[in-house]
Parts: sequence; structure tokens; C-alpha cells
Amino acid sequence: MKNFINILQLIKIIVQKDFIEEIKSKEILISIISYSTLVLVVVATTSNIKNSSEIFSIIFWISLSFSIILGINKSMSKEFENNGLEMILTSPIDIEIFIIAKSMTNFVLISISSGIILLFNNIIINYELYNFSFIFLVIIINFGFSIIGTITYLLFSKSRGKEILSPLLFIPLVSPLLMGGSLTTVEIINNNLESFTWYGLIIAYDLIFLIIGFFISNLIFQE
Amino acid sequence: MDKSFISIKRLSKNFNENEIIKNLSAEINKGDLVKVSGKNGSGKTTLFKILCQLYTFESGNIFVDGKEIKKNSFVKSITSYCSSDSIYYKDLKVKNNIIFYFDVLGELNPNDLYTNNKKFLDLESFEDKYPEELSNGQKKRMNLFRCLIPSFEIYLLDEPELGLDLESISELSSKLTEINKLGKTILFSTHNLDSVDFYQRFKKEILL
Repeated sequence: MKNFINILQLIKIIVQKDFIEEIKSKEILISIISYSTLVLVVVATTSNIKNSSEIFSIIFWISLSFSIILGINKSMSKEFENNGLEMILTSPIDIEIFIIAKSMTNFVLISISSGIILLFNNIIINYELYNFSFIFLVIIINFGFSIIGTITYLLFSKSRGKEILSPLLFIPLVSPLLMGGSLTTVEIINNNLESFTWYGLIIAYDLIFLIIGFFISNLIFQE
Repeated sequence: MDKSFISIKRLSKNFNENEIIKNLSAEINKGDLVKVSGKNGSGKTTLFKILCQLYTFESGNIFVDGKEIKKNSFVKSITSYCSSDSIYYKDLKVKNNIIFYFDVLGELNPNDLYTNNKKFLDLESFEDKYPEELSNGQKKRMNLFRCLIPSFEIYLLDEPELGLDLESISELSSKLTEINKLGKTILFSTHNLDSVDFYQRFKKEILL
């Protein structure tokens, strides 16, 4: 029990540090929100997205996933700038705790951004998506995005082309989440949500990557 | 069972095809002051990074207090590594950078530890600045403060005097003397042995 409290305490310390950094720089929130909103504005003005829930759904999830790559890359690169991560790596913290803490930070920042993007959606495209089914869908998909994004960045953290390589791996890995998200969003918009199968699959997918993160954590930082 | 506090046996480390450290062996007792010498690129920093478990190694063994470090992460809790580069998060103030490190070390009262020692290296004069606003010497002082204030058993100091003014070098020398008197083990590397009085007292040397 004491160990568990210590782990929570360490996660809190790292997440708190990330938020102090973000409050100062605002780089992550701005990059996610501006990119995603820009895509939606461009698509809304050049297509009939307002009349097609399918097009809206695909554009929403693709623009969100691409903007999230920018946000996660920014969040993770801060650890490597000026070798700040060495403070954590030379301290007696298990690397799994670091991965969980960074995934938590990324998850919260992505979720805040998604809320603001949805608000813009509501204004620009006029789809009313503030209901439990959709918000829960966004939360579980964001959880997957944050875990997969954190792991893929760390996997390539030692390579020169990490900014290119990590999105190249991220997009194929999140495609099941995008598929589930798009199909379920269409059903929600059309008030036609019949089963929660996709929700279960998405949660299972998130958990699989959480476990994979634990298994490969010790390989990530070996030099 | 080894009697030495740190026992390095036939240690080898490669980066790609380059063998940086080859068959290094050394025995270090508790409380020893050890100079790690060698030309640029001879592996001094690599040795420090292996000892604090930032790097793995290809062959050989290292025992600290009788425990093999490859299999134990306990070494991190008793080892302080002061890199020759400045290490910080650019969006955290100096004070927050240090308290964050004390926090992750598991210090019970990180704020008190900081406040009670902030006169060391005159850190209080720039504690509310962001690291990017500091000179190289001030960044170095921030780094030394972070590594020398908490209590460890082993201190790995990679050219700690580099970039410091005379006043700070004198304070560093006094701090290292104080730490060494407590029976702590110190390994240091330098290209300027005369710069810090304390360095003259070294009893052992590891030549790379």
C-alpha cells in the first residue's frame, strides 16, 4: 500500500512539473488546437461537411490525430532538450512510472484540447456532440492516443529522425482507434448507436498498449 | 564477497564499432577520493554514466557495496552524477528545477532542503530566473547545487569546476571537503588539477 502511494506521488510530481512547464510555454495546447481547428475551418468552407456525418467524422478524427502527434512530440521533446530527462533517469524512479506519468500528462492535455476543438466544431459546423456517448468515446480514444504516442516517441528517441519516424509508426498503430471512432461518431450523430462493441474493443486496445509499454520500457533507454 | 565499496572488473563498453573502455578494472574503498584521468574521448564520462546506470555495458562486472549494478537499481538511490553539461527543464525556474529533482529523489522536505542551503554557490541570487536567462557559469552552479546538496554515498563529478569563477571554485572545494569528511566516496575528472585545492588530496587514480 505504501509502495502504491509512493508511485502515485511520483506520478503526481512528474505531471505537476509538466503542467508548470505548459502553463509557461502553452506550446502543446496551442499546437493541437490551432492545427485541428484550421483543418476543420478549411474543410467546412470547401465541402459539404455539414450535410455528411461520414465526412465530418473522418475529418474530425484524422485532424485530431495529426494535431495530437504535434502535441505529443512537443511534450516528449521537452524531456530531451537540455537533457532534463537525465534528472529522472539518474534518480531511483522506475522507468514505467515515467511512462505512465508522461502518458497521463499527454492524456490530460489532449483531452483539454479536444474539448476546445469540439466547442469550435459546434460553432463552425453545428453538430451537437456534447453527449455522454461521444465524450466517453473521445476520452477512451485519447487515452489510446496518449499511450501509443508516448511509446512511439520514446522508441525513436535516440534516432536522428525521431520527429518523422514516430508519426510514421503512430498513424498505423492508431488506425483501429480511428476506425472505431469514425464509425461510432456517425452512429452517434445519426442517433443510431446500437451496440457498444467498439467501445469495448477500443478499451482493450488501450490496455494492450499499456501492457506493451511496461514490457518495452527497459529497452527504451538502454544505451 | 568483495571488500571494496566499488569493484570494477574487466569492464568493456563499445559504441557501434568503437571500443571506448577496454578491460578496465579498479577497486575503490568507501570514502576514497579518486581521480579519473585520460585524454578527451578516453571514456571518463562514459565510465561515470555506466556507474550511475545511464549506460549499459557489454562485458565485465561492477559491484557496489557487494551488489552487482546490472541487476540492481539501488545504486541510483546512493549515487549523484554531476554531468559536465548543464541539465535542466527550460520552462521551469531554477528553484523549481532543483525542487523537482529533490522531489523525484524522494527527499522528505524538498522545499526545506532547498531553502536551508540556497546560499551555497549564491543560488538565491538567481533562483527565480529561467535557465535560458542564465550565464554558463550560473547554469553550472545550478547543476552543482542539485547534485551536491542531497546526501548520497557516491559522487561522480565530471569536470565540476569548468566555467566557475574563483569564488565559486573555493565554495565547491569547501563543500567537497565537507562531503569527503563524512566518509562519502568521490570520483572526479578534470583537466586542470590545480584549479581546486581539494583535488590535490586524491589517493587513487583511474587512468583511461
